[in-house]
Amino acid sequence: MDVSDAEGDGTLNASEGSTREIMLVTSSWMPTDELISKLEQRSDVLYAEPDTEVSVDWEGSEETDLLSSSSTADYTSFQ
Amino acid sequence: MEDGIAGYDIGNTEKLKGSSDVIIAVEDTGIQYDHPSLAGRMYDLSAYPQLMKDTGCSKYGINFSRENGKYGADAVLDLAGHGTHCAGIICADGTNGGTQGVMSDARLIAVRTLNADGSGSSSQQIAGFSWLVQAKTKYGVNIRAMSYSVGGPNASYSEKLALEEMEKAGITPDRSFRK
Repeated sequence: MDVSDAEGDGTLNASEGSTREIMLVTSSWMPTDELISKLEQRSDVLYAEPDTEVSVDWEGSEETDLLSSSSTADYTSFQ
Repeated sequence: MEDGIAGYDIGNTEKLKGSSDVIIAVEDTGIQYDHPSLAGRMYDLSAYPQLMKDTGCSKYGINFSRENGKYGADAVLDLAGHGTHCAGIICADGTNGGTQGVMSDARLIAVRTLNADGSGSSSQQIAGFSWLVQAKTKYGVNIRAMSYSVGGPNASYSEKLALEEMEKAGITPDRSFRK
């Protein structure tokens, strides 16, 4: 696989009207840092970073922080 | 869905209930869309056939997790419970004496980006954000806010940028995010 064929699972336009992309990548055929360095040399790539694992915030959902943080919301905007 | 704490004040002092034309997205493990307290609060995206055709979403949302397949309502069915929990806080309608959410008249759509074990990747989260922005700005779905309660070991710059794009599009991320 050539770097020019590399694609992240998720991309988004860097800004309105721009075709440069932000890429999240994982690689089993090249060190991720090396892949990112090569990708960032491409003119169509604004920024690349490793695609990382995330998970449900079970802790947060058990804490009242989730509820108290909602107290700052402007509910009128949802009417 | 567990009962909430009776009388717990989360700041909605004006007792506002939202509106049926206001859509709140839950980006999480999916939603149990046939739950008695939520079934009447799911927004039906069948009103946007072009969005469904172009993006492969189902009538209750879209699935970017690696489970359940991409198409059909089952694709966004919650197999973990967390997304349903968040959806209930937002707008469970209290059917049969159950929990009532803070915006009980609003409508929900599910953006399933996490597997049944609650795990996923940053790119899946961003795919969800991008879909929401597209659904609102290109297809006109009135998405006003997003519940997002996800974290990971590293802060993602890409996620930060994507969330900023959402806010620019008029979608308020109400997130409990840890890095």
